[in-house]
Amino acid sequence: MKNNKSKFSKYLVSGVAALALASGAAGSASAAENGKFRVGIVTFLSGPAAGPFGVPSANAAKVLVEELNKGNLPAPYDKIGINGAEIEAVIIDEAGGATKQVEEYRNLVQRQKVDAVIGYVSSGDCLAIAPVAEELKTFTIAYDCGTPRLFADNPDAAYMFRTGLDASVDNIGAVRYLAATRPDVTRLAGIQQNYSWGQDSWADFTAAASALLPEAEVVEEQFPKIYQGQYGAEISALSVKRPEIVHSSFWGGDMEALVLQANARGLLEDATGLLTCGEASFATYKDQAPNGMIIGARGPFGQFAPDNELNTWFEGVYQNAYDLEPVYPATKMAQAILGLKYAAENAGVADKEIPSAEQLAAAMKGATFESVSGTVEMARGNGHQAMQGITYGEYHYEDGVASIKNAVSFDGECVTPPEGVAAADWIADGFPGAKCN
Amino acid sequence: MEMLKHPVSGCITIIVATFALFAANTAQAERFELGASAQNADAVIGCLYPMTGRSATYGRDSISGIKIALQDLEAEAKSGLDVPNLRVIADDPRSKASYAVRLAQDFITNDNAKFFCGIVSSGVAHAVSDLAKNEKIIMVGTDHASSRLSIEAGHDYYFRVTNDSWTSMAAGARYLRDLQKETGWKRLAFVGPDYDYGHVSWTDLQLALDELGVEYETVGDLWPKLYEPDYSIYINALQSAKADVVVTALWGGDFIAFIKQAASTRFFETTRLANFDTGANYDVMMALGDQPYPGLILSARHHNNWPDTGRNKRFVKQFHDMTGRYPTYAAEGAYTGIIAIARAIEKAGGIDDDRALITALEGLQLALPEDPPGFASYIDPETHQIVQAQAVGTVVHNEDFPPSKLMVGNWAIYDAEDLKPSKEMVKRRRDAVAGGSEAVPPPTP
Repeated sequence: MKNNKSKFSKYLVSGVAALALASGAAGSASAAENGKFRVGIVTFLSGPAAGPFGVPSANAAKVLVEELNKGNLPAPYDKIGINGAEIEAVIIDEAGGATKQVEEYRNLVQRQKVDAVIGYVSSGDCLAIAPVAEELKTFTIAYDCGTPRLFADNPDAAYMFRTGLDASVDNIGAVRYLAATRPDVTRLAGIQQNYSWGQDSWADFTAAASALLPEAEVVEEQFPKIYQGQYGAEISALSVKRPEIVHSSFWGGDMEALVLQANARGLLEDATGLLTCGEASFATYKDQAPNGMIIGARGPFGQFAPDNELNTWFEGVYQNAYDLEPVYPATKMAQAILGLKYAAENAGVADKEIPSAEQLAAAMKGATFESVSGTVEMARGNGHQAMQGITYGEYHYEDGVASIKNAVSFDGECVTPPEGVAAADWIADGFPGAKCN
Repeated sequence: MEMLKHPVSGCITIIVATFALFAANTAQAERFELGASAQNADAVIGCLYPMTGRSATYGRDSISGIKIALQDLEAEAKSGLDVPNLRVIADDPRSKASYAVRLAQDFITNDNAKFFCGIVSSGVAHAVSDLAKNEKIIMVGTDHASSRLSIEAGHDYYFRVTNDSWTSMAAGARYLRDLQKETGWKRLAFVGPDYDYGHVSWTDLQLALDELGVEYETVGDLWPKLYEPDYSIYINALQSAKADVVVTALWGGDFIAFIKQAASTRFFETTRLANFDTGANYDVMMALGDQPYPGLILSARHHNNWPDTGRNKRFVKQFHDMTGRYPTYAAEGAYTGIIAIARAIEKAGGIDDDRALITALEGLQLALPEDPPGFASYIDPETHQIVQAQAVGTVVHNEDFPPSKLMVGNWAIYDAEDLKPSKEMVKRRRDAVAGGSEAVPPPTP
């Protein structure tokens, strides 16, 4: 879309810089030879997910690596680089699909000889990479992808970790937000990308709504194909059912197109949009998103990140570097890098020594570490999956300034199924053991 | 779709809005050309609206409603949606059927029009509907309301997107039924303009009351001519008949004149005056000044203060921002007509297949400013008449829409499905025409 190209110009300039950094790293010696901690960073640098997700993530990685190498972070991350070793980032493009990403992953590990990999927005890519990480015995952190299947399909994962939350949390949190702020809502609708992400998100949302909003009915559901770009027919179909809430797990360019088009076609005049990934475009909506639209950040990230020393510092350096506030993918990338640093510096190795993948995994498993989003507990997925709370709030734009209003947070144990329990079962059973503040 | 080949951004702009002052020829001066240029248009819509006389407000507001629709479609195009480029040409038929037909024929011949829209007078609409049928041009009625157009005279190419006389009278009959339970009224009179719309409104009301089993006594039906300047003899006759309730189908300036003249007598001390189709129009509210006559029972095809939805507030604000005043219902009807045509073209994938366009319009659902929460209007495939909810109320103080100091309130809301003519009713009326009769005669109470 014409409008989006101009919106993302700042991001794209930064993206080129990130790629240049990767080129330099690719030409240098292997990790074993130069004493640096070499980390592969994988995120979308091209395609529709680049603007809202990949480039902010890559920018976050770039600025954080630079600052870590200078030892500029607040405690407990004030040690230079990772465990005293300078960090060398190899940033590659996630575009191209799962098969290509498996190839790129093997290249990172076997030819680039990275010590760890952080990456993946796409759930398909995460699911494809997970078994390869085990095969190649490479410490890998999924920083953003949301499929609940990541550890359900890989219950014996030793090297694969995720420092973000899964999509079930997004949707249970979304329903809890509605129950807290709009308990009388009766007419729900949804529009999802027609693949596992959209279908699973909608299934979790509607199941949770059945439990927590018993008076509500689903009046319409639409499943356009991913990257469709135009949603006129779907928006009209939703409009005439006159829903009060329109839930969507759309992300990236699809999400921005949906908001623009739904706003123009009047859907969002009486229906409130609820976008589980909505915060990713916080900086670019401006007045093209209606005030009151409910947005999430897939956890306590971006605009919903807490006011702590680490986050204040991170927001400051990011803002200085890019003249933009970090949106949630940037915060999540920072969280993954800090998780890696925590693991390396708690692996029981000597100063400047680079721990093995096994040592990194042992330190990370079940760990609790501080992050830009507050405290992260690796409390699910047999110690490989982070558990945190989630926050939702309403987008408002007034006098040229965007803000969040009516934010409500839910603790991790309020929105996360207990260890070993599938989200669908937990919801169906009425959230047994949930601890909500 | 063919229209995909055209760049959409910026094409749907208002290119010409020429007023009479700048042209020597009166007919040409009344003509408005809005939207896409002839070269860039995916479809041309020829519309007929009065620009002069007592009903000029309806034409003026309809043009503004069309402009709002085109603005909305332009915004949709800018957001990335593939919407058709529409060119709208409007002219004034001067409330004359023969002249309207000539203008409509010119739309086809000179402007390559694919659709007709508009028309305030039901008499004019009948003539143009016949032309639409013969020339196979889709006509989307936005204002006129005679139910005979969609029931007895309905055909493939005729559609109407505002409440018709049946819908309004079906709502009115329900209001009168409920009012009878409160007040026990018995004596009913009717006064309406002496042309198709007036007569069919009276028939519709009687049929609707009969369907509900309401018992009453008809004490008079009076037929002043359209644009009658003096209603004193009719007001005297109604007072002499001692009607408890007078229902009227007078509209626009005629209805305002009737109220003003009735208010100079003791009419409102003894009689309730109901106008279920046009009475709550904003021009009436303004004309009432600060006099909320207690006997008035009113409704209209769109209200600025009902329903209290974002979509309605937005439409009213758009109109106010554009014109500096508040809209009459005609504006929302014209807006609906253009949006309906755009959506039908989208649904049909272009304008080349008449059957596809007709199929797209049949059953077309539209979320409109006048739709209450939880409901969206739709076009009944059988009659081609839009199915809508209706609110009826009484006059209350309300200064939210200045300069009017009054608006309708105390709403009674009637569900759209309840206001549809039954299949049996439609069949009976159509069979009567097929058998040589103009329409089913109203029941005798």
